[in-house]
Order: sequence, then C-alpha cells, then structure tokens
Amino acid sequence: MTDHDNKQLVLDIAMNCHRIGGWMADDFEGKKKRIDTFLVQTRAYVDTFEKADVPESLVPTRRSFSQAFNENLRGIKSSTSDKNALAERFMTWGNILTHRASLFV
Amino acid sequence: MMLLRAKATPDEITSMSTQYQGYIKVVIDVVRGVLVGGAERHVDEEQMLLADGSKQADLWGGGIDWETKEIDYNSMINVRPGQQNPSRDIMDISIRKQFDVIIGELLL
Repeated sequence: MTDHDNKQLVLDIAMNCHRIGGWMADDFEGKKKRIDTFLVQTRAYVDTFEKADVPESLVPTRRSFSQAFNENLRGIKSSTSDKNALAERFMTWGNILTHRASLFV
Repeated sequence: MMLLRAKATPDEITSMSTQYQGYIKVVIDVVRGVLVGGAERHVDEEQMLLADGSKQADLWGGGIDWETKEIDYNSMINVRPGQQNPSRDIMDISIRKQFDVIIGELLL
C-alpha cells in the first residue's frame, strides 16, 4: 500500500470512530446494530493499519490507538461501562487520527 | 489537567500532552480568555472552569494536536440547541476565531 492508501486508511478509521462515538452518545441502545457493523469494519481497518508501513512519527500513535481501541471494544461489551465516556474516547481518537493522518507525506 | 491564564510553559505543554500522547483536549472560556487543558474528558475541564467563575454559555470544547498544530472544535459539551449550536462542532465562525485566538495566546 502506498502512503496515500495508508493515509486514507487512517482517515477511514478516524471517520468510523467519529460515527461510532456519535451513535453511542446519541442513542446507544437504538443504534447497537449499526455500531456493531461499523466496529467489525473498523476492526478490519485496524488490523490492516497495524501491519502497514507508516512514517516513524506515527508508530507511537498507532500503538496507543490499537491499545485504546481494544480497551474500547471490551468496554462496549461490558454492561457496567460508562457508555458516554466510551463514546467520547472514540470521538477523541477520531480527532487525533484525523490530525495525525497529515503526517503522511 | 491545568487551568491557564497566561502562556503555557514547555513543561506545562508536556504535562497536558501526556493523556493523549501529544493531543491536548481543551475547554476555553471565550469571554474571559482562559483555558483548561490536558484532561481525559472535556466535562472535567468544563467543571474546573465553572468552579473558577466561568459561565456555561461561554465555554467551548475542542482540541489541538501538538504534533501537527491542527486545531479542532469538536466536543460533546458543544451541543447547545439553545445557543443555536445543535452539533458537537462549534458552528459559529466568530466563536471558532475566538477559540483560535485564545489557543494562540495560551498554548501556541
């Protein structure tokens, strides 16, 4: 994959994080099916991202994001987790990845 | 997290950047020109400013990526239909400009 492809991948992940976070914040129970669909898609994107050739400056971000994403997935499955806090975490990572995508030349 | 009334020192920037490895979530009082940054959640920053005397209507949330110096205006605390802001993004251009000015004065 080229740098352009990898940048697009990061932006796709970012957009999905925004979508998932927004649905969780607005109507978690009502949007559960859609959230699950996009989580599956995002999981696949993240798996690709974890193996992609990225600029050195993006490596720590990728590591932190992968960890946060896995934690968020566990949080979504838990009945006791704070869904609003999780929603915000998804949206925050959506913002971070949107910014960091510009590190691809 | 910390409340800034004057330009942040490099150590303060480093401290605020720790939570999200180089990304700083901020809530800004666009009237008083003060900012709280570095928390995990905007709502905690908002609470700090309210305790400091800010009015809810003057508080807006977003973030700055220290690696790219890009600013975003996205926060759950921004949803305020009563202020013609039904979105999580700050929709008013003049508020965004004030947001940028204060970030420039206190962080950049």
